[in-house]
Amino acid sequence: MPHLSLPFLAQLATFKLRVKTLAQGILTGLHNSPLQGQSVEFSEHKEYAPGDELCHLDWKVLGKLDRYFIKRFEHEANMPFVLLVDTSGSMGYGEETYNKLEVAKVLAGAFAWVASKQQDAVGLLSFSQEKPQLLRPKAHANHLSLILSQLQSLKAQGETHLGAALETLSAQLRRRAVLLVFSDLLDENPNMLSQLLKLRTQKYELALFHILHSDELNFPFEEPTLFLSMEDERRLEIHPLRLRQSYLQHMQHFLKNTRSQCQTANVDYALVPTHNPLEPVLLQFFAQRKRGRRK
Amino acid sequence: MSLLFSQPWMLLGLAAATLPFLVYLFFRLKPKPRPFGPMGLLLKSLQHTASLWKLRRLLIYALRSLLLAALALALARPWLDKTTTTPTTMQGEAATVLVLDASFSMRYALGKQTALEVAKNQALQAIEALSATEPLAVVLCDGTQTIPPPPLSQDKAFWKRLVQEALPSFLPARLNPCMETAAQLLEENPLEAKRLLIFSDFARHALLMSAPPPQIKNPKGEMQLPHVALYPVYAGKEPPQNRALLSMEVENTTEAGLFNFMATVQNFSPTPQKDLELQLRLKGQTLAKGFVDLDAHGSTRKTLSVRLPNNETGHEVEMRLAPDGLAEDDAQTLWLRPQKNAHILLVDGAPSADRQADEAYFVELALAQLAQTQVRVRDSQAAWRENLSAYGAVFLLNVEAPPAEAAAALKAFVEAGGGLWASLGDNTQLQAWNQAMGELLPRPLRWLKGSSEELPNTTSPFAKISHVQNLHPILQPFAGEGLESLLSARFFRHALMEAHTQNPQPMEVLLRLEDGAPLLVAHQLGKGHVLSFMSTADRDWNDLPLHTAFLPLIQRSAQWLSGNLLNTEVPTTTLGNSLRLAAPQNAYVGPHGEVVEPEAQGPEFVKLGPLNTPGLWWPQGRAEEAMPLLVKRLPQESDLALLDMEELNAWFGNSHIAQSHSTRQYPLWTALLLLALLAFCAEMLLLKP
Repeated sequence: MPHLSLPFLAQLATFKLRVKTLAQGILTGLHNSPLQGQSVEFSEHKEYAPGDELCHLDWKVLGKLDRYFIKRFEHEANMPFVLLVDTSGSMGYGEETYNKLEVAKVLAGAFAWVASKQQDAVGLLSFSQEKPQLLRPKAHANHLSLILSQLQSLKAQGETHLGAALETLSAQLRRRAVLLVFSDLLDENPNMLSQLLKLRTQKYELALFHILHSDELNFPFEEPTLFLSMEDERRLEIHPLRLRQSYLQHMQHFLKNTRSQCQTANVDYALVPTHNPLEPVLLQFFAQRKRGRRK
Repeated sequence: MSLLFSQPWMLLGLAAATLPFLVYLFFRLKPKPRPFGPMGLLLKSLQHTASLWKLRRLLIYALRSLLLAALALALARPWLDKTTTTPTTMQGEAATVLVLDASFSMRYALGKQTALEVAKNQALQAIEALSATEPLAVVLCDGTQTIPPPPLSQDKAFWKRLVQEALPSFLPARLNPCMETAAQLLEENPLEAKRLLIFSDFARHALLMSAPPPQIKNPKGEMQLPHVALYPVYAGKEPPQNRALLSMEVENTTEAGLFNFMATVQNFSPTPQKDLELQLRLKGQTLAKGFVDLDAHGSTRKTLSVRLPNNETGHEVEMRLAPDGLAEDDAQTLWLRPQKNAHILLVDGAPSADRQADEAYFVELALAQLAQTQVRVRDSQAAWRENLSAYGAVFLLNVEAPPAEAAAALKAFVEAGGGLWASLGDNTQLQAWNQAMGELLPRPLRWLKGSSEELPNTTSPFAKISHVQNLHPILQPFAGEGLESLLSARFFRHALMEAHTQNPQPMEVLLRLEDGAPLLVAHQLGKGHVLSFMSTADRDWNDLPLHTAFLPLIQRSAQWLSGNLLNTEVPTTTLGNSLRLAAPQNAYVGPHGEVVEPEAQGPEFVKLGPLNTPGLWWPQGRAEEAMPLLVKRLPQESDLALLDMEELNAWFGNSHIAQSHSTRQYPLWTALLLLALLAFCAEMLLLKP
């Protein structure tokens, strides 16, 4: 099976098929994942006491030891997933069929698919609009189709309105939830990241998928270029070779700073270069979550 | 200090220095637009590097401009001419005389300026350096008869104008008399301090060092040397490297209309010269070209052969050598007189119905091919009735002794300028011949010699020519195959001349046989010439008519006798001299338009000159038949070897000389090329990302 990079996925006919292909790949990789099977898990034995539910009596132990033990389970809370997708103009960088937003959409779709298979509730919020609308998390099967069609319709345009998105989220989502953020974090607002990370201190768990194009990471341009901002009217005419070294230094500093802030805030962070395979990103994420839960 | 350029037109290339900016402004590549996400990062990066890159970009354009400008400047070959004009003797007030050399050698070009212009600049600066109260005078030393300049005055403007208007002559410098004149002027001035400033190339021929240096009588009546400052124009510069076309000669060839022009070229420099172009030009058009190589201080001769059309007015032919610093001595002009129509009378002593047996057959055939020559053949009886004055030359071919009246007519004809050829044959009775032709022959004829029986130590029945007088105009072109042909002719019979006679006439033996007997003898009688050929002009006594040499020998003899061979003879003198010509004469106009009026010298002659410009001088209002005068250059003036300054010091007396070895040239092109290279390297470094 080829790596599930976005260029490969882009060759697939429909968005849904792309998402499904990626999700199935993940499910195959997660065969012993805690998300598989039951959502409750055996924790310990307890000696029977009057009033205990007889349905939890461990009959095998009674047969072997002739003593009454009650099985106790660690019941995992049914935490809804909310997919936060950045649809600002800068997310449209790259080729038409596999730009950064496409990566975000496919990743988010794959998460929704997997979560849906586990009967977890999934919601969606895109944050480029001034009045973002939250698709509330739900667990029934039809909701997945809604999520996927909503994802498919997203387009990269405008500026990033993270503040409005967070306000909407706080106002409409009263429960604890796992927030999966898909963004390039390229915003003129220097507090964007800290605003995001502040969510962690509230009732939310947070995972950040930092999506960047290889051009943005490597700055491979060599000819004189007129750079046009994708979110506003700014423009810059420069010979890229003269700027490359300095740009790469700034980019490294930006990545390092982002990673470090995420670590400090106990937020799962994954850098997703658009041309790399996507499977490892998801597998790594779920593996992290498993480790985190067992601790 | 001044900046001079060898190739100033190359400075146009400086315009190329604006190219980088023009390209940037008008032709730079249009940047490709590209939407890009991390504009914030890009701008942040730019904040740190923008000013640096702006400076770097400006530096790159500046370096490119510098590179192009430096290359253009280097190609223009600039040098810095640093002149210190104030000699050490210029301290204190003194009467000052400047001697400015304006002779022919000062025409030498030192880059953009001539030597005279350099000297004039030095002189002007020296005048400027004098105080307003110092009296001065300028002696212009151009080789002409020096007219004493006005006495010393403080009118600096007048003397500066005199210097500015000075023109170089074609004459040699005579620094000694110029310095004497200067000394005399200084002596007349009451100021005690005297100063003499000399501006010259100090060519070796300009100064006669065997003469004493200039001296001035002081108020006590004692002779003393003035303070002398020398301003050599070549100080600090490369010494002049001159070559010259010293002479140009022409000779007729055996072919009608074909001339050999011979140039003598000399190299006066210590550097060998290769592939120098030598051109032969007529009316501004190049007719022939050749190349010469010259050793250091060597000379060579080069001959260019050219066929010239015959015309009524003659030809002004120029030879020109590839020009150098002194272009005036790289050309020579020569005038070729037009060919005259010649009528020649052949007196056939043995006519025959069989053409080939006819005595005049071979001579007539030879002369028939000569341009502008009409030949008439008469037998002896008819010939004596001809009016000889209508002919340029008469050929007596195996005729019997002419009657006394005919002999007298022949003598008168020759004395008046006609030419006579006398060849012998079976009809020639020696005794009668001697008697009738005695006054026309240089020596009486002794006997006929059948050469075979009396030649000692030889078994051959014939004699060959053993000596050829090549210097004679008739025989000059005989060399190589022509000479071989002449030497291979066999003579079976010939006449001998008396060795001793009572009244021997001066004669020149042009051809001599192996036994020492003269074969062809020339002598002058009055204004004309007689050629005595001691054998036959047909095949009776020799086989010369069957040889290729026969044709040019007869043709050139006929031309020489009728005065058509030496067609370059014009009145000639050397530069600076006068010519004495028969009166009356018009004024003459020189090559540069100078007019010289004739000066009467008695009733018969006029004096023309002195003629101070080399080349051809033509009578004013030049008529068609006018003949020019030729003024020849002095070859020694082309030798620009310089005097040794130490020797010159010694001659003037060391204590009185304040030498101004002040002019120095600093070539700048090497530094400019280095600068261009550095600019290139720096640009490469800056372009490196």
